[in-house]
Amino acid sequence: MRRLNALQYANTVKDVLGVSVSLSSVLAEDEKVGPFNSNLLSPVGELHVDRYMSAAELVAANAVGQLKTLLPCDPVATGEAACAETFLTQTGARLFRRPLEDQERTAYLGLYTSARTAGRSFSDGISLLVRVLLQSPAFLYQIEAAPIGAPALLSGNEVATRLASFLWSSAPDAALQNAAMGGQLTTVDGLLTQARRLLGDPHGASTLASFHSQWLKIDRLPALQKDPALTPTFDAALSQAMLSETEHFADWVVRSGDGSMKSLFTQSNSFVDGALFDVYGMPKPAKVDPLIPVPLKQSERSGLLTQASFLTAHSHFGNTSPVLRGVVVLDSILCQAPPPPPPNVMAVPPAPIAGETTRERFDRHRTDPTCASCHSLMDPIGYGFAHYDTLGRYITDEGGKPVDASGEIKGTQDIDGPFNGAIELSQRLSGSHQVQDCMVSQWFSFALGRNLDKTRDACSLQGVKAAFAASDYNVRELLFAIVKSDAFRYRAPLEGGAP
Amino acid sequence: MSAQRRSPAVSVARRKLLAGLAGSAVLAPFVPLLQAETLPGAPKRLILMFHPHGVIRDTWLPTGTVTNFTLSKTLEPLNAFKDKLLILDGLRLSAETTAGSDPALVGEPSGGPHTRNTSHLWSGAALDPNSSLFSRDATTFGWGLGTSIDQTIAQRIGTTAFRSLEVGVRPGGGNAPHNRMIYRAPGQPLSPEGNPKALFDRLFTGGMGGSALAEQLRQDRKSILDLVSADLQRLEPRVAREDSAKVQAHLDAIRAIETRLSSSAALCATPTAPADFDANANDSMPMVADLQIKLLASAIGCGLTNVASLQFDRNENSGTLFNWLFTETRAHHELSHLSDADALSKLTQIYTWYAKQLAALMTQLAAFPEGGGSALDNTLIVWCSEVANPQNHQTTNSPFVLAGGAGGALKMGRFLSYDNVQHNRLLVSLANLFGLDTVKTYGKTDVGSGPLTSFI
Repeated sequence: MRRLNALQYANTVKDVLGVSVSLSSVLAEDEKVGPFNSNLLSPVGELHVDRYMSAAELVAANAVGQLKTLLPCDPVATGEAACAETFLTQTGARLFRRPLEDQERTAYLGLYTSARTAGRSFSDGISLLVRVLLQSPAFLYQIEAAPIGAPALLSGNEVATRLASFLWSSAPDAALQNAAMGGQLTTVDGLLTQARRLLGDPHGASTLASFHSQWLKIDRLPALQKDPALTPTFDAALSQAMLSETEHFADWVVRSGDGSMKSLFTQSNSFVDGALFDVYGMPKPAKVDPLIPVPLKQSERSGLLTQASFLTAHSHFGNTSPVLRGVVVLDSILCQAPPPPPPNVMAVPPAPIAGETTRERFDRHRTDPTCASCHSLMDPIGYGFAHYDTLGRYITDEGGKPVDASGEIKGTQDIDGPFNGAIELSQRLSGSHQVQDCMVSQWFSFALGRNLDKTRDACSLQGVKAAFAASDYNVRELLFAIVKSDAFRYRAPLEGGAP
Repeated sequence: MSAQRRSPAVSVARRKLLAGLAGSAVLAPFVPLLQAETLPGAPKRLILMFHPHGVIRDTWLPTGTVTNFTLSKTLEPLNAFKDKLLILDGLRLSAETTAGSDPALVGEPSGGPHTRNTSHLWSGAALDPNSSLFSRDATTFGWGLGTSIDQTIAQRIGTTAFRSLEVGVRPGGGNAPHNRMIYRAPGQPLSPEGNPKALFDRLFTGGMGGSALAEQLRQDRKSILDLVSADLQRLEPRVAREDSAKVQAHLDAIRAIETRLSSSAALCATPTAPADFDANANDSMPMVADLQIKLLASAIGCGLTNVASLQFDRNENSGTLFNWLFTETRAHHELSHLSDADALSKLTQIYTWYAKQLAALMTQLAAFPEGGGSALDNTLIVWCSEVANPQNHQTTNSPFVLAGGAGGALKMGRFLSYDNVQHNRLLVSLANLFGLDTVKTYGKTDVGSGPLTSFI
């Protein structure tokens, strides 16, 4: 029983009630499963419930502020009571992602009726309905019937909920609900038809942005600080431009472009705005079309890992770190997290010495054999990023010495060996089976909101990997293959295991 | 028994009385109202205070004897309150113990030293090694497997509008074990409130205030929560066993809020609301600390809660830059692993700043007269960190400072040295001190029994 994450809550409220007020400071923080926001395990406390109460009140106030667009009927023509009931039935079904049960309808209407009987306005009555709907467990939790004994196929509404939450980070729309009620989602073909429609819809951009910013751990950008003496141009607007670039880029490649995983690592066109032009060393044009990607220098940029967001998020406050950049490549992209530092080790980079390059500085800690065992895996990957400073600007010399971006990949299944620079590294990663497998696990975990279970999910995982390969590693097809999998369509009986 | 004591319904008259004070300065201390008498032999309130990344022992450790000691640099801001301090040296956190016969303890630890000791500190338990919910480097782990001591004690004295209050000063970074130290039950972390405006709203609006609009809001909230409770109750039999704990916790939370909404808990004049600002920003930290301390002291002094915690910063790899103390590009965590003179001096300044925050909290509590003394005399603050020595994550000689008082039940003004004693003994002492006399062990990693010796 997963609880909606903040993005799903906000998107649902926007799609169903037309309210797009910022809830980021109202809703409590999400739990994370791996890098992904998913409220899987820990129960709510008083603070969460208080926050849900405040959020519901805020949303309701905004919703009834535009009553005409909110209501599916004209209260004057149909009568206020009848219109309130229609609103409750229709909106309730969207928010609960299933039709209201009779007991619910009766109880909620009672709330409306007693307010009206007490002389309060129609709009107050509607507001109360919105507030109770948004605090009900049927809205806050994704509830799926618990099968007994054997795995069970999810009901139409249940799988529709999973589908919309995966591909839109929102609730099902009316068309998806109709398909669910019409029994079309119990077949793989019916489900795929809807999956293709959803991914092709602009709402899909939210999920693409959410996945990539969390997967690459660039969602930390808004909270990130940089040394103002070294990087005076780094402010909230630039940080947002960086994040938006990558979110937009990934969405464009996957949903509008060729969809291939290779392109994510090799495509040099991207979406540049504002002060980001300076970072990329390009003159800012008079007019920027936000829908058309700008060609970046192919000798400097190649896909996600050479974008300013990634390079900035994985640098320190005042200097770059081959360790940080190397670890993310290993952990997020190769799914090969290095082991934790041994106990009692001082987990800090060597202090800078004037006149020394970053590589020389970090080479020093690899002379210590306790550090070397792991750092010989991470640092040589990180060295490949030597051409990019703390904001991802391209540099050719560091403190007067020419940049040495030679690196080496070690310990992988299929792409070991020396390389030179992040462009060659990206190309190497873009064709790696280990990276392809890792991409499958990451998306799978994101789609289900839980970690994969090595035994229970083995068959599903195998099928998805095969489908990804057959599509020549097209991410769109990967998403559809996940939707088709048993892990997505069935629910296992619960016995202390994963849903 | 005293544990059942409830606020008498004195507050209507009181509210009227206090209405005249409503225009006083922002968050000025309020006149104390209720429970002015101290419970005989039992302390009234408990606050757990946390800051990350240990201390520098050389500049923290007092010198001298049990009753005649001198505070070192770090604790100097507490000099004015020396007779209200009880400093404990020689206690050890042992989330990593492999001693004892419980095979579940062997093979730990998970989660890295900062994270596992954060959930261990107040609960004496370790992170769930069998869960794959979180991963760090190549290890996986789940939530902590214990109940924190404040929550255990809240079962006895959490009879106020808020059973307990979790307050944070920039505790952000996701709902994950490295940000959570308070556990209502195993696997049930409680999130701290890090936004002063939101904390103010929780404390002082909704359930309070006499305006017709406020009363309407209160009634609406109650009606809605009633319906939501009914929904949850109908849901419970339909969900899987492991989900029913979630339904129960949700119901518990609603019940607590309903109690609060029903109580005539308007014990203080409502202070002016703090502004809404970015409470997560690095440089907001001193301002957030100031506001949260004042709000927390008000909540205690006004009888809104008897049990609270105050969490400074997040617990793993603090990225905080103490720009208001010195110029430095390395954040707290990075500094904390260094041992050169410059780093040590800056770290001492950081820890001294935290001691100042404790002094500020004590000052605020002391402003509420209570019985013959003040709320401070009846509030025991227990301050510690997740590691002792940040350079190597060592957890022996953890820097425990107890401050305030336990209503006379605990002799303050002392400096006690222990010889490598498990801190679970202190947790037992705290339980005993707050009336849970039968508690002999506390937490999953406890390999001993009984309270701290020479403590009471």
